[in-house]
Amino acid sequence: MKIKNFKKTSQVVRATMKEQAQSETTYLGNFWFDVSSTVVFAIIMLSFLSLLFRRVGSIAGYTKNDYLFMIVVGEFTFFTVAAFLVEPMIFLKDSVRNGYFDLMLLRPVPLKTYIYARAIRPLHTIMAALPNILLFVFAVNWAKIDVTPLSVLLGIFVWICGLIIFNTLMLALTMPVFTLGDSSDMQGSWYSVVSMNMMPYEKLPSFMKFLSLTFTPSVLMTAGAAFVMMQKGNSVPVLVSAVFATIVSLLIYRLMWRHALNNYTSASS
Amino acid sequence: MLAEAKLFIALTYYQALRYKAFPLEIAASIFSNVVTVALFITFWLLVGKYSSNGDIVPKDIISFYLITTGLMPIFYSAMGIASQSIKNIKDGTLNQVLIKPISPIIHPWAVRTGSSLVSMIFGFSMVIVGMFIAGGISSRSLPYLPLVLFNTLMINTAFNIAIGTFGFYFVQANGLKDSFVHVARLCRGELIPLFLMPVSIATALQFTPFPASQYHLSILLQGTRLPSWGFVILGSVWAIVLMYGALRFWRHGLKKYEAIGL
Repeated sequence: MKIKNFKKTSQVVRATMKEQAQSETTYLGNFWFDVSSTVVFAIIMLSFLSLLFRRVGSIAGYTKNDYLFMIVVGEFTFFTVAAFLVEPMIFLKDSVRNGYFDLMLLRPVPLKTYIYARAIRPLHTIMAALPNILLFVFAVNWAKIDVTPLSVLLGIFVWICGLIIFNTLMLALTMPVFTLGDSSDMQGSWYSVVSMNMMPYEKLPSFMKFLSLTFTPSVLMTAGAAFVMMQKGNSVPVLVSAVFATIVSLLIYRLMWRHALNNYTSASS
Repeated sequence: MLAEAKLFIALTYYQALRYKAFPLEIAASIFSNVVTVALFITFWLLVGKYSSNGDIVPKDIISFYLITTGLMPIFYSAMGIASQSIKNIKDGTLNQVLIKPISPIIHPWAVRTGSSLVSMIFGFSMVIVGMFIAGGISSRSLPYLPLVLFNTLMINTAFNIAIGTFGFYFVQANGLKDSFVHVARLCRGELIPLFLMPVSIATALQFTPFPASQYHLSILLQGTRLPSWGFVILGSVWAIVLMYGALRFWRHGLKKYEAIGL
């Protein structure tokens, strides 16, 4: 990308995100209800873990503290996925349905950049995620978490692989809107995918491990990344399979995007 | 009454027709439900198999999970009706409902039942599978069943009406609804069954309306445990009080509604 183009694109990104931030604060009551909902969720999850571990002691060598660390990774995953992957795809689906996609195609900015920038709600994401994640961060006894700089880096790498796979999954769930006219329920299933990811990754059955590389990548992003970061076992198979799945998913993403544009019927044509 | 019932069925059918227009949405609903069930069953299997205490029986907890999750779409305990009411108030659909010969309280039920028919069918099948795994309802559970069913229906209905009514007071009350659902999930034993909680906490929760809204029915359908009569009757008191309160709250909220175009 040329510097001039980059400057122009970044201006568009800044302007669209500023517009989003303004629209988010229009109804402050709603905004604070949403924020409080995530705090309530955090408190409930902490209570859940407390009750569970009072009963079970530990699960496959994972203590309550290890699980709290896994939740920190999980919550970070949830908010990242919701804000950066799900919202843009919902925006894309709505745009195709209401004809706004036509206008987006005409804009002199990179289409995908515009979609992602336009749909992200920066203020909402930060305000909803921060108190929630901080509550879990303060609950973890960090001195007892066995991590090294290298294991953290490798864990982040696995997490990014999962993020790329999730992006492909979201596009796959959005694709029917280009051919069939709707994909609302398809997209809604993302919430099921992230519903439960706190599991000892190494103890997962092979089939579930395969699913974590395809249909439930948030398991890879949460349990897989936490497993690698906390050095709970041999990380090499996780890293190799994550890289392989990421390459395949990137190829699928390109093919699907091309297929989507080829199948798009303009509302104004 | 009969005319209203006919209208309810017609509305439900009309909403369910969307599956005919977009058949892939059926697959989506099934995919969504299967993924959730698979993840939670895996979680509890791992807990049962690898917990250091070893006193958690996976079969017991999985059947409970299947039943309690299956009941959710049937009794709308995830507050789907409340969501629909909030949406109707926010986007002005309530205007159209108010001039139709159907109660504005009943209308969201018809819409939601039709639009989430696949989830309801899936819910029924989960309950049946859960009952099959656990052994199913026993003869000693039967005397409890009518009252427990009444409590479950009334409390969830009251919760849906009350939370939906907040739509009259706030432009977007979904955050409030979400907060409520998070609390309810823990208190009615959906996240962790009450029989796995410490006795003091489980007993304290029994004094709230939450266990009567789902937990009592779940353990009855499992057939392995029974709720105490005292807490079932307390649940009925809650059901009546909450229903009365919710209807009053709805009527008060409706007076605040400012329709556009009427």
